[in-house]
Amino acid sequence: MVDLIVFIVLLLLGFVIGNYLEKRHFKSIKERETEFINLPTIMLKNPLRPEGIKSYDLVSGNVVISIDYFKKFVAFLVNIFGGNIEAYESLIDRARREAILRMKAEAKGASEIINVRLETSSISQNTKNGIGAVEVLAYGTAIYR
Amino acid sequence: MRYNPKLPDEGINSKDSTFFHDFLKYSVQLFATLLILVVAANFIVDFAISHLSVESEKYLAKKLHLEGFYDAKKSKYLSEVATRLYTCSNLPYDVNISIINEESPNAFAAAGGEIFVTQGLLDKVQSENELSFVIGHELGHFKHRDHLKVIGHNIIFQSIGSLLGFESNGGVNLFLNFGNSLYSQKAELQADLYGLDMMECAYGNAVDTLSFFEKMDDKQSWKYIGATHPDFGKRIANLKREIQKRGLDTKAKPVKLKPFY
Repeated sequence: MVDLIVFIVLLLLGFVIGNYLEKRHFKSIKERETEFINLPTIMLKNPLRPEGIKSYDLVSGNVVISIDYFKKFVAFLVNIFGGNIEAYESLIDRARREAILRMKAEAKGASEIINVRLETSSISQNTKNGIGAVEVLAYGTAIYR
Repeated sequence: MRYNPKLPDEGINSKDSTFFHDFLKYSVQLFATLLILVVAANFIVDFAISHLSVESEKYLAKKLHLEGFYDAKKSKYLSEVATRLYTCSNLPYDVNISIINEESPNAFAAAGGEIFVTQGLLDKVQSENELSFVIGHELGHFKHRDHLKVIGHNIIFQSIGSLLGFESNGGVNLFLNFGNSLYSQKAELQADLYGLDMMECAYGNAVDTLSFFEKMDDKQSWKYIGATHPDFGKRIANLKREIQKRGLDTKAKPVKLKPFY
């Protein structure tokens, strides 16, 4: 009986707090995306205009976002029947956008970031009880003119 | 070439949703599937066990050496009390009751017709009638062969659990436990009624059938949700109803206990 209460509380906590945090995070992401909208972030290897470059630098942004208990349980349910785990897709979306935003924040004063790469790393998978988390690393070359 | 600043499109890579709908949909699907699986498997187990002869059961139980496992002791007086109830029950098992040196009050029926009672239970009973009712209840498990069905049901619940990887997921394990408890609690109530039958046969009344449960009742029925046994309040009510229906005497003088050793 105590197990049942703990389970329901965890599920509720995950649902209420997890959703609140996600909404808040998305709001902050959207605000910063508007703020950084004029900094081009492209995957081309070479700058579009080679002339006038004062300096360049490696910039990176990384983020680890953990899943909540509710999402984990939904994913577990979907895992049995098969299908899109949409509950996890929002996490990937958040992590990818957040990593790019952090990279942009690091590239203060840059005119563009080229050769942007996105990677996922994996710390959490190697832990014993498999803490579910999304880890995204974004890096690129910031060009200062 | 011109850079065209643009915000990411929403709703393509992720859905703005709380996923509560998914949660409900898949939960219902899963639990319906589990329900069908469990009911079907338990039906097969019950069918197989009702066709297992007592001789085969005794043969298999002998190989388990339960008596040695629990380091159990015999008591002449306890066997005498049990014999009277066995005679009433007319079950194809031999009288085989032993005491386990353990403090928590408990009694259980094991394969091959063996009954174990703990020392804690013997310390807690205050009359022979109370003791007889506990033994009568265990005989009820033999009558309905619950002592074997429980093993079968547990195997099914655990194998379904591990097959789908539920050991890692508390929620579903709880659901399985809950299902198990529904089966088990029903069996306990039936065994209680059988115990009452035995009391009626052996003593001709229902004196002290409720008193042991009343002593054990902690009035915390919520604790028994999902437990193997129903809460004592429910068991007492179940027995009271039956005693009233049969018009059994509960006021007569109880039989005194004799020393066990």
